[in-house]
Amino acid sequence: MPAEREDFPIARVATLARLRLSPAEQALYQAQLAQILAFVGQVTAASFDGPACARAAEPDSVIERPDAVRPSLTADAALANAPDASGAMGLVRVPKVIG
Amino acid sequence: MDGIPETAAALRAAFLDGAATATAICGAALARIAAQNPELGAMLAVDEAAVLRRAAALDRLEDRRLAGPLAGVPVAVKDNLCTAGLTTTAGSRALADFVPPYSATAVERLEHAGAIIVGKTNCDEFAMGSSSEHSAFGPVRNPWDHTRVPGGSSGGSASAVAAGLVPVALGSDTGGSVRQPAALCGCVGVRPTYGRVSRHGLVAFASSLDQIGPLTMTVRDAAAVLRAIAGQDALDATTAAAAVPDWEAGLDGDVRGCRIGFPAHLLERGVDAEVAGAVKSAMAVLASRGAVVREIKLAHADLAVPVYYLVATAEASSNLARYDGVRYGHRQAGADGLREMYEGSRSEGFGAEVKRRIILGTFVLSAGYYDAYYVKAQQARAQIAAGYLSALAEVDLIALPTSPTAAFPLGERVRDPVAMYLSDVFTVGASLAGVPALSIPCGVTDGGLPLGLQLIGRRFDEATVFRAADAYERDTGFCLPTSSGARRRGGA
Repeated sequence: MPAEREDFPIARVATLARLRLSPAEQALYQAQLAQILAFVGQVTAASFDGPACARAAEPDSVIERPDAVRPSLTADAALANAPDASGAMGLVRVPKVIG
Repeated sequence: MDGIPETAAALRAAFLDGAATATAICGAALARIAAQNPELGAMLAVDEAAVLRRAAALDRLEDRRLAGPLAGVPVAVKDNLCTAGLTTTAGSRALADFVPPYSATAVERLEHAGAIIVGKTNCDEFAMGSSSEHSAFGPVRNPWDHTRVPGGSSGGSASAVAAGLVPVALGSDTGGSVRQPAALCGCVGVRPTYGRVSRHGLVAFASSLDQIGPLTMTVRDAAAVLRAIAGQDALDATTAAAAVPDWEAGLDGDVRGCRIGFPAHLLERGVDAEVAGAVKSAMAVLASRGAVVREIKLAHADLAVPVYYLVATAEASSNLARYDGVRYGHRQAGADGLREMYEGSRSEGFGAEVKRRIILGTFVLSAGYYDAYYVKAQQARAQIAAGYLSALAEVDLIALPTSPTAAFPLGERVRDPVAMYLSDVFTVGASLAGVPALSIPCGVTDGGLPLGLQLIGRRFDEATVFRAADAYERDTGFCLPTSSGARRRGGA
């Protein structure tokens, strides 16, 4: 069912989206998303026959490329933009995952 | 000015016949950028030394004709297109320091054609916006009136071309982000057929809609630039095998018998009177050249904006999941744990409009709401696309305004997302249908702001779009803002 204006589940959706919102952001987005959902309500209220697809976005043919080894990024180039990396080991460093 | 021609065609001719060197051409572009960009905010990264090195290399060629069809032409590239070694931010703090290890296919093809990439243009963050106010690096200003927006999201590209900083820029068009800023800044902007131009190296926003297109002062220049960047690419499986014609060769001013459908019913509300008047006058110009203009209906056109914002945000929420602070992009300092790092990095890296769209997109794809919103929007999209294709079976082109208004004041719509989204009311339809569309200047308001006419064609029939636009341009010329804001007409 379409969401009602007043019950946009902002906290749950922010968690799903991996966003941490301040109380002020939560209040702002809750109000704005309710406004936006009211605006898109004309779509949810409409009745359509036919498939849920967009053929216009499908290519006429899918290109395949040869399954061959080609030049690619070096480890150093791939790590050059990493916020934290161990270049010597060729690894990206992240916070501890397992205690 | 500095005596350097204003169009790519004239620049190339000057370079080939020795009237100008690439170094002089690029030096003039760099000087204009230095003089005007602090006020306009149109350009972000500019690597002057690299530009002049490349220009000097072209000047050293024994036979300049070998330099390619865009030889010596300075081009600015929207900052969501990867440029090897040159910062590519997509207007976001999340990518503030990102230096791509490779260039987008479109950029490589421009360089192969002899163009010189002078720098990157400012834009709405991740191409999400209609005003170029949603950039982490400040807003872009309209060269016709610095208190107004240039449109968006390719506002930096449009502002740079309209101000004469460069004759050509690339933009990206998801729901109108090339066409709408072209209209608001008085230049030509093209959204090619979906599949015409490779998106390899384009920072993804909504992959079933994103396309790369040129912004120029003339239709001829747009045709030349599109030809240079179009065509199948093994690095983008959505590119089509369709042949890339020489569109310039078809520009003969002849539109006799061309059937143009005009959906006048869409102009009955929500459209400024000056916009409606200018587009109707443009229809009369084309009719006077022999085009056959008739009224048509476009089915479900009223649903295009809400459908677009459901589909595009759903795809954006998925595409932007990659910004997690691990391999590249902004990472929150001192995060304790992986999940905290993800959330902190994304929350610090993304701006307000991007967060808003990710939240909407995540919502419409979430369990319990997917069928009511996303599936319904995809059903509606199929109907809207069918409406366009059905109309284009009866006529050769569809004509619409590009934007319902001229450029609006900075700040006017930034706090009202729905009002901002309605800026795209005439552009999202062609995006949803995957058909090519072009915006061309069609007049100036009493207040001195440019207006745009949009011509929409059949899939892979950019030829007819270019031909009609060129014919129209022959009667109207192109126009540039002067420093006083008044219109200055150039030769077409």
